[in-house]
Amino acid sequence: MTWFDSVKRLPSEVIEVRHEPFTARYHRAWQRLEMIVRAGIYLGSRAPEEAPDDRFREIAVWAPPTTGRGFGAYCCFRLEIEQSRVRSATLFCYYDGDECPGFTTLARALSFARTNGFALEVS
Amino acid sequence: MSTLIERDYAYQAAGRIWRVPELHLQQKADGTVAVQKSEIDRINRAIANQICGSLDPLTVDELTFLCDVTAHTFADAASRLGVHKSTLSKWRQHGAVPRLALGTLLKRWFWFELFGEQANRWSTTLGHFRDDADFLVYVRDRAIHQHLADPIEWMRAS
Repeated sequence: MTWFDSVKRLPSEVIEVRHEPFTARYHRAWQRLEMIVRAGIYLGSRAPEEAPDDRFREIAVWAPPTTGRGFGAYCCFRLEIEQSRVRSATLFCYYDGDECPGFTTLARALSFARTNGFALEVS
Repeated sequence: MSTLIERDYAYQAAGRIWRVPELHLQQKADGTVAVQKSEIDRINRAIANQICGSLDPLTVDELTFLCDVTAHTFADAASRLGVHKSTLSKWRQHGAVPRLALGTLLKRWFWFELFGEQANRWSTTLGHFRDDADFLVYVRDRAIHQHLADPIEWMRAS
């Protein structure tokens, strides 16, 4: 089971979107959140950028475009981990090509994720 | 963690700006502020209920919104209508679902995707089913009355 599979199983009360402050881009993230959680594709995980800490893990996810063409939704979640279990997930990054980076295919999203340090776990 | 309430919050979705009477935010121990998915779902359901119960033609922005909040794609919607997905590409260029009847069909489908499980327990008179558009207005209002969705209004087009 991947980190993202654990996020999909979380109750909606512990999945959050960061609010600092809200921009139109994050309103778009609100709209797509259900699609991201249900149909998103896991791109990998990494230790938090500012300081490695076993209590946290960051993951990248890409959801295909709703309309079937154009940019999908690339997002990052910070996971709070306790005793190897995911307790909460906070969306802190959302890109959909509208005045921000955008990725029309899974391969491009995966490449971007790798560039930013996300790696798929080897089972 | 404490809850903050922002009143008359302007939320941009489905091509409009919506007035959310109360938005509940969570202030975390580290000082950051976040919105729970359950809160986002509450607001999105309110908007979806309002869109589905509207007599106006379904816009492409609204169709995209309804797809997103029910985790469906345009291809799913096309399949539901029995049309090729390229038809929806034409609608995208047009900006709206061109025929009122098709928009009503989609609204009915999306409304039941969101509220059908609870609505299955409702009883009502057959008269409400006579006209498709009136039926959707009826279920929209009933969803609000039975607290399945909050009332919400839009302020302006975005």
